Amino acid sequence: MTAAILLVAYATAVACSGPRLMRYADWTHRTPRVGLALWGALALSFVLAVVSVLVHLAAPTGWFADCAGVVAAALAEPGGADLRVAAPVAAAVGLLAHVAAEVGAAFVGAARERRRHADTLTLVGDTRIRPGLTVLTHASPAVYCLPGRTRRIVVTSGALELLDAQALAAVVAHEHAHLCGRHHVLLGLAEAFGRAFPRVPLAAGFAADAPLLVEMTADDKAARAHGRHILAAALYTVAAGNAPRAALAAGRDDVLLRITRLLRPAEPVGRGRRTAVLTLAGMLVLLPVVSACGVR
Amino acid sequence: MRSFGNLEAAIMDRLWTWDRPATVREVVDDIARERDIAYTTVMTVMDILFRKGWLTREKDGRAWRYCPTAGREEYTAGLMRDALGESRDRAAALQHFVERMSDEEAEALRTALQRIGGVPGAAADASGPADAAAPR
Repeated sequence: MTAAILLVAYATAVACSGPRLMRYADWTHRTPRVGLALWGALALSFVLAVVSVLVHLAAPTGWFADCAGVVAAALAEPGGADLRVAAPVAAAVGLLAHVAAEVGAAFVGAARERRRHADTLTLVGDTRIRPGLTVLTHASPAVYCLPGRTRRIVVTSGALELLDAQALAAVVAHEHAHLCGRHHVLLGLAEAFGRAFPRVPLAAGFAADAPLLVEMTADDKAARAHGRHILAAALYTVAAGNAPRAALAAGRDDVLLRITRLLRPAEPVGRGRRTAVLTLAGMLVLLPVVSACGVR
Repeated sequence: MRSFGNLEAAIMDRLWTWDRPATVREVVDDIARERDIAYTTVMTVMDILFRKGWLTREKDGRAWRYCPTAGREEYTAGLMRDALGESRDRAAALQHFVERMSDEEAEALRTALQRIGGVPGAAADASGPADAAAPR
């Protein structure tokens, strides 16, 4: 029982304090990849803690291996399963199924949307103008990539007019970083986690922060190859160029943060600190499992 | 279906450019100037495009005359809506380089950037609402 109480306290702490700590952490924008790793570890740790609580309630025997035996025996009782065992087991299975369903929906939905987009793109886009790029004839500057099996980098003719060769190379490197880093998988998981636990601050925080951290990761890679100032100027050009009055207000703070970060890079986070955070991330994942096993 | 992608694009490209109803024969003759193509292949693919809703057709004597359902611009506009996040409900479907801003927002961004040293091109003209957006 002790373990169950401790785990409930832990899950609550992770769910409520985790996002607050991440928000106040001053290093996440300096090393966005480590930031993403810690977000992911917190999310996984939370799910594991909740499942561990339920497993522990069903069979407070210590080790998971024993739990399986106790649960199997209880469920096979001739007079029907003991509700004290069956209820937590059903809840654990239900929770995992719920998460899996959200993950599945996020990936299937995104893949379907990309497929539809790619089908139209095949007929409307022009791949002959620039090697490796699909060009859309449209006055507004825009650059984006289609990840997954339909992978393509798309630029509008409006963007080609505004960006010189150097800027275009930097922008394309940014999109390549998305594709090579499989950022869409991470974004899909963050989004699914957010939808699976809509009232949990941790889930909302991860889903909200992941897109910006992913952009910064891609910015860093492009900036290393093509220069920070060139990428910053390209960001500004595409964001500000020819925009319609109907605003997409959500993006402004993010754009400013990204450009500021490129023009005024902060001290990089040292290797020691990065290792410490990644170790913490690993421990966060292991902790709920170990404590459910080891403590009675 | 995938392998027909290029041919589909070539057919749509012609019909959009000609801007009038055309028969399979006309399309075949035009494509045949660039590469060998069988009449039946083009016929099949145009039938696929008709079934997908990209083309409409009407009988003209013994042949069908095909015509695009909508202009290239309309499809492009649809893609741009996807790309700019207006019609997306899945964050992970497309990843765009940067969100676009309204004129007012661009102005505020320009002002904010000047304070930190500026972006080439962004720092050129300086008049804007200075209090609109301060860097965090």
